[in-house]
This record gives sequence, C-alpha cells and structure tokens, in this order.
Amino acid sequence: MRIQFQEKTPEPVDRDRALAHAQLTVRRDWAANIHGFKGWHQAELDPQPLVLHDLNGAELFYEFTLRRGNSAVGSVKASASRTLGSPVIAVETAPRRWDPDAAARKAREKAQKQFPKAEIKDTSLVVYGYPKIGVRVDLKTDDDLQSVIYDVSSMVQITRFGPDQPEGLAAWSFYETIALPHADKKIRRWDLANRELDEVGRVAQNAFATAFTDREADTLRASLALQSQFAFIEFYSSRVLKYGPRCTPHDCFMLYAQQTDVYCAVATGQMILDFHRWPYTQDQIATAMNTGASGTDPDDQATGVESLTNNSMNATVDYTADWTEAKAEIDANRPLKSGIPGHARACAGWKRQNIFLISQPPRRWLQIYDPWPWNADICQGGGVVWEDWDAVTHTNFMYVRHA
Amino acid sequence: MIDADAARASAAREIESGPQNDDEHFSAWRGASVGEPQLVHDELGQPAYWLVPIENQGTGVGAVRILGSGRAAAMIAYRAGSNVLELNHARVLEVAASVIADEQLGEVLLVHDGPPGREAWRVEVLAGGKLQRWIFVTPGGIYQRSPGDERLATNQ
Repeated sequence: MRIQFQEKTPEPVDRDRALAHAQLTVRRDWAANIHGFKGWHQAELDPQPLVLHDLNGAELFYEFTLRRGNSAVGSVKASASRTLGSPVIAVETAPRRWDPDAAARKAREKAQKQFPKAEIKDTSLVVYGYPKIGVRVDLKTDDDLQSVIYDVSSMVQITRFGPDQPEGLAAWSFYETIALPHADKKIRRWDLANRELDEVGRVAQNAFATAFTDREADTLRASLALQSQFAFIEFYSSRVLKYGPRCTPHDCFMLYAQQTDVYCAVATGQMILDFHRWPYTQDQIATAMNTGASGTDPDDQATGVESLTNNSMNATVDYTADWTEAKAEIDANRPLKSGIPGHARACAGWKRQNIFLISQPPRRWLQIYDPWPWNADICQGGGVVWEDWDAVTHTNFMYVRHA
Repeated sequence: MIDADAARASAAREIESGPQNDDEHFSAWRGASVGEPQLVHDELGQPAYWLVPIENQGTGVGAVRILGSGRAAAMIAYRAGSNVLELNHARVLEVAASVIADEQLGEVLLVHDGPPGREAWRVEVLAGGKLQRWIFVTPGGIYQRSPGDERLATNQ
C-alpha cells in the first residue's frame, strides 16, 4: 500500500484556540444538564492534545483528554482546521478505550514483522474512516517510501480505500469527502462560532478556568446555559402508523418475513399492500414485480404495486432518500419502502431526539419492519428494528399513495 | 473497532435509554440484559460490526447492532424464527452437512450477506481444498451461492 501524502493543514486552527472551544463546549453541555456531563465542572482538559491526522496526512483533530483528578473521564475532538465548520466535532463521555503509546508500539512490531526489509521512518495517528482511528506506519525500503495503517484496537491492517466501500474497515479522507467540498460555507460557520467564543470570554471570563468548585459552578451555570423559549420540551418526538387515526387509534402494521432469500422486496410489498387492504401472496406479488433469481429491480417493485392495485395506488421510487421525507409519509399515515444496498424493508415510524449535545446533530431513527431473516412461514422470521438514520446507507424509498 | 466489552456496554445503554423503550414490539426488553456480543463479518471476512444479543430470563428477545465506532445502529426485536444467534457452530455445521455430498465443510463465519442486518452463518464448501460455494444457514433454512456472485448488488 502506498499513501505517502503529507498535505498541509488547510485553514489551520491554533491549538490554544481549539482548547478554548473544547472548554466552552464541555462547560455548556454541563450547564445544560446534558445526560452524562454531571460533575464535569470539576473536570480539567489536558492542554496537550493527541494530534489525529487525516488520511491525506494533514492535521485533522486535536483530541483533548478530560481528567478528574488522576482519572481520564472523557475526551473532546476539536477541529484542527476551519474547513471542518464546527470547532468541536465530538465529545466522548467515557475514557478512551485504547492506549496511543501501546497502539503505536504494536503497530511498529506488526509492520516490522510484515515488512522485515523495511526501515520504519515514523508513526502517526490517523482517522482512516471517521470515527475510526489507526496507526499509520511509514516505511522505507531502499528509495521506496510507503505506509501501512493498522486499526488502533484490533490491529487489523486497513486494505480497502474509498468512501464508496461497504461498511467495515475501509479508509477515506475526511477532508476530501466531507470538509473541502463545502469549505467556504464551513469556514463561515467556524468563524461565527469563533466570534461567539470571543463574546463568551468577554462576559464570563472564568468560563475558561481549568476547573471549578461546586460553589463557583453554581454562579457560572446561568451564564452558560442556552435558554429555550419553550417551558417544556419532550426528550423525543415520534410517530408510528395508526389504524383509524381518530378516536381510539392503535398501532397498525404487520411484519411478514420474506419467504425466500431473495423475496425482501416482495415481502415489503406485501406488508405495504396489506396495510392498504390489498391482500396477495408473496408468489403473486413476485410475479407482478418480475422478481428473478437475483431479486427485484426497484422500478419493477413500483410497477408491480400499481398493477396489483388496478392502478388505484401510485408507487413512486425516490433515489434521494431523506429522513424528512420518510417522516412526512408516516405523518400522512402511509408506510413506505426503505431501500438499502441490496435489501428492501418497510418503514412504519420515526423518532427524533429533541435535546442533544450542542456540538452534535440530533439522533434520528426509523422504525423498520425488516423481512430478514427469511422464513417459509411469513409469521416467523423477520424483525422490528429501530434504526439510526445516520448509521446506515440509504439507496431509495418507494412511496405508495392513493392515485 | 471497539472491543466486545465496549459493545456490551453500548448495548446495555440502549436497553436503558434507546428509542425502542415505548414500543410494544419491544415489551420483552423490559428487565432484559445483554448477552455475549458476536462479531459479524463482511463478505471479505473482515470484522464489520457487533451483534449483541438481548436476553430476558434466558431467552433471546432481540439484539443491538453496534458499529465499530460504538454507535448503536439498530435495535432489533425478535420473534420466533428470527434469532440467528440461537444457532451454534455445531448446529450450523450439522445443517450444512445435510446438503453436501462428496465435499468438505470449511470455515463457519457469522456474516452480513448483503447490507448490514442480513445476518447469516456462512459455511465454506470445499472440494480438493478449494472453495466451491457458500452455504448460508439462517433460522428459517439455508440457501447457497458461489463466491463473487454479486446478484444482490442492484436488485432487492
């Protein structure tokens, strides 16, 4: 493998400035009583960060360790570049589960064993596929320079590259995939947050003290908490499909397993058709959807649904699936098909976090009726799943609506 | 990739505070505990994520899919015939052996055949030491295909 890039960090952020952003984020999350931050006013950020590099070699994050006494209690990943937009990318409320020095030593040993003729020139920590971290070992053989990356926890060598690789141990550049395509917008966002940091420093200088006593914390909390205009906010919002959405509605969707290993779209169609009171067997649906030995084409699924309902239903495939679109369908009390690479499932509900860490996006889920595992008896097999929207690759939706 | 202990801890947090808590499909999760995490592999045999069983009074009632980062990607409520983790290696080999003739069985691996979530036990079928095909064992039965058959890539 050959990854000898040594890119300069674009729009670099000074480490002291990154530390101040990290401190403000931690203090605000504590002041807002976010779950997991209790007692963090007594935690102190180690000013010496771990420097985490991008796959292209540029500095990506400064990871500051949070300590209470002698114990590490968490860590904060602050941006090393304004092009990342958010000054703080992630806050971990648990100690790091791997040891950087031990990981570097093991990676050196492994590389030496794997490439006995090579000279080890350097090691560095690399975010090889956010949030996964590896140790990059730079090797020299004669005049030839190359690098290998090992995952910090498993020490598995990373051999697959590109953001389009399936989930697993694939490597991709955070800068090239996420930051740089929208750099101008992200730099403006970072600058706004930076101005806010200056303002907080002006009105509440002690917000950046290393740690507080309980009494000092009480007086500081009010100046840091972000005030809501609403007296009471539910922790979650959610909705699932209802039968008869008036008077005394009840949850209304039925899980069917796929009857063969390639009938996922067929079983999904059966769940949706049954909801609309068009009962068919899976074999009948497979015939209408032109299902073959390798499964069902998404467009054929739509054609099949329309033909089975005598065109009283419109089925539309949407290849730019978005969580808000799924939410809109459920809010209209209609199930939809959720496509992921090579698999189809039905979606019958959504849920969203309303209170979340200031520096992180809210979590969103879909309630999925997954026809896998397959089973000849459709009343066995399958599973109901609450699936994290941002943790899954979505390829398409199919909406089924009255014509 | 986080280790099994971290996956177990992450799944335990989801039992307490996950989005499934007010869903009646997950009523069996009340008072449940986490079991032994199982590593799920991709088609190349590389570790992909953890599947952590959720157990109530000794019965598997579901699972949590924990990504390598520690993030809980999915909370799954099982019903009869859903629990791929109830199949142990011996049972998987027994089922696979029932459909081979003059061939040998090789490595048994828990994989996601296709996207994450399509878990199955994959058994190598060898002839003369060479890989001939895979048998996939699930709670509902088996299916077979050749390595490199990308039929799941575009269709569903």
